[in-house]
Amino acid sequence: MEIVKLILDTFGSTIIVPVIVFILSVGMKVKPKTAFQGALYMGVGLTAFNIILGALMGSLGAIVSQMVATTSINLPGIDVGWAAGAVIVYANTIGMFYLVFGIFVNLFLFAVKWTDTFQPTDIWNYYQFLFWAAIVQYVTGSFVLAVAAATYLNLVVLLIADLIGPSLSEHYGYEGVTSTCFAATNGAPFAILMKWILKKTGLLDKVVLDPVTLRDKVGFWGEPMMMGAIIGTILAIIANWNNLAAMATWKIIIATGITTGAIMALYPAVSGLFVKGLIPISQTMNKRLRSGEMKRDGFHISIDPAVFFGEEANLAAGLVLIPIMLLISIIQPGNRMLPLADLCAMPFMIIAITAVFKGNIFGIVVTGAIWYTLGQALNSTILEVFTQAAAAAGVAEASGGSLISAWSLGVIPYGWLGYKAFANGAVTIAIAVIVYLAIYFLFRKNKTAWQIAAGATPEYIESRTVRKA
Amino acid sequence: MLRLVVACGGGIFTTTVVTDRIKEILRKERIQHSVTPHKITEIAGIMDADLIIVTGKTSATNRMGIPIMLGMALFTGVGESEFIEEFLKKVKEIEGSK
Repeated sequence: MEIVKLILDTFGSTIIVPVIVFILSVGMKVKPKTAFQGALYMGVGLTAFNIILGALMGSLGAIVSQMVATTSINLPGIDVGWAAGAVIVYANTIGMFYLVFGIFVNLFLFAVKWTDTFQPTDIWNYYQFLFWAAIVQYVTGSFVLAVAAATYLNLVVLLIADLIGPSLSEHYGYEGVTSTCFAATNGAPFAILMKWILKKTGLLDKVVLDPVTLRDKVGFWGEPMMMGAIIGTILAIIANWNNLAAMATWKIIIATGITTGAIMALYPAVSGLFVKGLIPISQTMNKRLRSGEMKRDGFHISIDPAVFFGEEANLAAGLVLIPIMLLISIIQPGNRMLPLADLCAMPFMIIAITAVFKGNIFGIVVTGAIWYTLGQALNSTILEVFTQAAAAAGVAEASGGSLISAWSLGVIPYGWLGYKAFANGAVTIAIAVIVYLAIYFLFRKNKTAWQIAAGATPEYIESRTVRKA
Repeated sequence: MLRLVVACGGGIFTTTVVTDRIKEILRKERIQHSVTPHKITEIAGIMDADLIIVTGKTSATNRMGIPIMLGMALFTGVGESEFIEEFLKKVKEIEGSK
């Protein structure tokens, strides 16, 4: 263990992460040349990310602390986005470890039929629950507890994936798929409850909104560069509220807006480099699955949520939610972070909610707004620990005292519950495990009924089972 | 030169996978090209492209009328050869009309 720590400290995450990914890729039978290329891209991406995060902090860090110091608006957190969240998580020891360990956990749970979801095709999205495990590791200092928390949250993710699979497949029109992307699916159980309530009150069928008209009206909210520029400008105006008469102030305000817009525009290119390291593994898993090495009927393949994103009701509801969440985050008492880099990821975060409501925009928007308002309250409590966890992993050391989080990950309430349970000792861990098992067996006993409650039709589920027989 | 846009939800993961595959295909065919990553939400406003490939089904359309193809096959591998055939046909059509 001493030696491992020495190696980690000496080389740092930008070197260690690619090396581990290379070894893992070769172990998964990826060609060494492809594996090496992927690993190199990953190292380059990690380095580039540190540069771009440094630029973001340099531009917004001072503005945000000035805002907190000179006004009564307390929003010290900077949303660095899910891509940065992924980089931070995979640069952490728990993140690297779980990339290997998680595949075995997934394969095992699938083999013993604990779950119907085949997750190794979606290893890239491990970071969404590992985000919380990384916080557990930082807070408790225990690697074992972090692995336990990661495994626990992975089980929760798989339970939701089993629940929502048929509904996702049917609504979005892809046969036999599901999602293990925590941000995309975590709203599903709450959506089932909300759908029941809204149906009871009769509101669900009364308010009819057309997705295409809406999308054309609110489309620009989905452009990251634009949103970056707008939010950067707003923050700079608030921070300089007492000096708005000076010409030099406006130089700062406009420059902040442009810099933030520029960073948002560069984000995909830089994170694209980083993900290239993990692509060979997930693609190999995909290929193996198709070549018939996996034999099982009636299961769901986990697929990246990008394929669901553009469905018209989902996109329209997500775009409508962007200004709504932005407004809520400003007026919500106790909220400490404005969504920034992840604001445009809003359509990702309601993918399962959309399927539960079968595209009813009113239902999706109301449910999404309530669920993530709760999430924002929880995210506001983890800014300090996540920032320190990131620094401990050697990423965003340039944050210069600013607080960071990744909005779309930090607002996942189940993630927060898992973190709290595993960071508070044996009693809360035991309670968490018992609650999971109770819900798991409740779901398994009436699987079809729950999947129908989640938005699938009995006909669709039957068509899947008949084929199985 | 062929100007392509590959777009997905976040403009990152599936886009990167599909972009790599498209570059591979076009290199084999010796077709000069450039590929730019985008998000599906940006599709409407794209102006300087010959063809847009999306990684998931979408009803989004482009204001300039740039054609859109569903390239999910390159991500999942299901129906890949059919997609490549159709894609190359489209590419040659575009090249021919230039």
